[in-house]
Amino acid sequence: MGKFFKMLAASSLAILTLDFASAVPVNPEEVNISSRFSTDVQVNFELYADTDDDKLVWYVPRGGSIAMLGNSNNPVPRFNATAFTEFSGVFAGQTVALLGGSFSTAGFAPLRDLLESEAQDLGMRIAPAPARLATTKFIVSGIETGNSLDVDCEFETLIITDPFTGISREVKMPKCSVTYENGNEQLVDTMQRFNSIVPAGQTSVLTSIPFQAKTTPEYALVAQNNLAVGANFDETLSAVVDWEIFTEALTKTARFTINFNQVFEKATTFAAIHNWACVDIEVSTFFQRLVRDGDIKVEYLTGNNVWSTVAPSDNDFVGAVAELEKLIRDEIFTEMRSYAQPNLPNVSREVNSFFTLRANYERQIFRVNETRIFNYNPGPQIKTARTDMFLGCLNGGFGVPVQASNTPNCRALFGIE
Amino acid sequence: MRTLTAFILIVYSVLGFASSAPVVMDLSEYDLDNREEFEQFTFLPIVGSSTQGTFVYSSYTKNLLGPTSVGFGWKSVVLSILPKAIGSEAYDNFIIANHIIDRRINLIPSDSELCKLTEGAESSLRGIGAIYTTRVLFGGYPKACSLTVRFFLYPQGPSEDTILNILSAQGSVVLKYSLSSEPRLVATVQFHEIIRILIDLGALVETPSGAFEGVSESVLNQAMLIDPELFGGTDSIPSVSWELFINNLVFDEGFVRVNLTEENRILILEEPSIHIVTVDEEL
Repeated sequence: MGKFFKMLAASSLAILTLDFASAVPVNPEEVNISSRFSTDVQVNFELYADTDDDKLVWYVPRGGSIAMLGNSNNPVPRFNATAFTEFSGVFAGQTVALLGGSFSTAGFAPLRDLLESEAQDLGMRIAPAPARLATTKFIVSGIETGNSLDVDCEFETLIITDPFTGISREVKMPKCSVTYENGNEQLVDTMQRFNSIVPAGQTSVLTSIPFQAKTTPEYALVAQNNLAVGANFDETLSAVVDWEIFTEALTKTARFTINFNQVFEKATTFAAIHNWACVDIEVSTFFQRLVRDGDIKVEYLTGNNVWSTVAPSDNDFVGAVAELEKLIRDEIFTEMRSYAQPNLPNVSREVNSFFTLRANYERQIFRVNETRIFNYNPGPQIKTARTDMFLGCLNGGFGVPVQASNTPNCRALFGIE
Repeated sequence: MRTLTAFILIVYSVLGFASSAPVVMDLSEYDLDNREEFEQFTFLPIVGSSTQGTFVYSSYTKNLLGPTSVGFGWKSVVLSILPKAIGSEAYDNFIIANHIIDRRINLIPSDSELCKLTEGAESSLRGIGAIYTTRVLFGGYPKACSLTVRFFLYPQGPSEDTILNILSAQGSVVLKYSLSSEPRLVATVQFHEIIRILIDLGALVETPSGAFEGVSESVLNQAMLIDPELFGGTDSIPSVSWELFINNLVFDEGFVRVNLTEENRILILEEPSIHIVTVDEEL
């Protein structure tokens, strides 16, 4: 009966572990799914296989632009530009431009369609990758900024000498700059203010990032011209999102050979140092040391079905040692748990456990040298992917509705029929 | 407080003009052999793609924007530099016919002379007693750059129209850059090291003249098994490296002979730099 429950517990644990590992992108160094797609797809998307479903491809777009509403025949950009007369500050009475909109990290529709059709040809489907963390950076007038930038616009006083009369006098001139913490000042001639709401926490890699900016009077001219010719706003505004993608490694196979007598000898010394009561981290260190010193020999199964004593990576070493610790810890140590519940609320309720040496005479008397094959997982790895976004390919604004630029160049990018 | 006269020109520039060797841009992601050249533009496809790539423009036009008031008696105009190809029939047709997806980036080296006022325009402005400052901005693609000229209007000074006439006249602003690919290293072969290994293996023996000689078949068979890293490869010997190696051996009736000289210590094969475009315009 007890055995049955143990089996049940073990199988439910296995299911839990499987569940945890499923539907997660695989580390691309282990399964390089990109190589099955064309260069056109590869340069535009970061691709990941799935741990569980070999028909699923996760993607992160490498490029993006302003978010588009509507359909491919009539896309409506989420962007507007208006003229605004300043009523205070150094530019009081002057006309500046307000730019507002939303960047989308979804990439460009025709490229996404290409990815989808190639995936379909391979019998696969696509899904945007889940991101553990997104860090958004805006490049505003050449200055890398987080979600906002406040530029100091004031005037400086200059002495001007009239070249014909030789008379000097003081004049004021507007000047906008940003002062860094180290005291360095950088002139900014394009933007007075920039604000955005950036994605925080866990998110899908498809998200939009709203922003608003106020230009200087001079840059209002350029903004108007950019919107007339459909040029990019690279000189003043672009955005980059760095995604942290949680990737799982595939489960691998290794084997270990252990000389129990030797290990017990070392364990006795080790436990004695810790007063015969080691905490779990000390036990883990002990096993790592045993493997490093060669008392337990670990061999990793490589791609060519050859056993190698060299761990493919540090993660493999840590993963394999953790797994073999689980397998043989109870042969060497006995876990002692303290279930004492504190009387006060809101104090740590963690189970305190320590390990003491187990008198495993069977292993010692029979001098068992054992080799066992086991599976381990090198553990999750955080991979980074980047989406670069530009503001551009737009026409209109300043009292006229903003539309996607009608040039063939921009139509191709947005997939306008 | 600063002193400004009509003869002292303040140029704030966001560009650093390096005077040293020309800046070479990394064009390795482009398939330069398959570039498409037209009168006003060149299309550089990325390696492995025929539709995606970057446009490089060879002729530009100037656009005067403004003037607008910036307050305290100062006014500004912007000289914006746009490629002539934009909107041209050749350009639009090329994009439509080939389903081109433009990466929308400016491939302009950082040591370029972008949107500088010409000597002529500067001396004209000085001559009329204009008080002005300039500021260069990189262009948002496809614009190459833009130049903001902020000028002060004062009694007895030149009129706004006079200043605008000078700036809008042909030849007031310079655009000068050249784009070439970096010479690409195709193969490196550690010739002396390889020969020494072949000597150690007994495939080559020293002759009285100081050269080394061996049976061709044995030399080549042994050489093929040498660490590919000495041929600049990782898993296998790259074919270009092998060719380079063979070309430095002398074959003679079943025998191979080799001389070790200072010149053949390391064999290098480079693909020469490819010139893409030179723009030298006064607009």
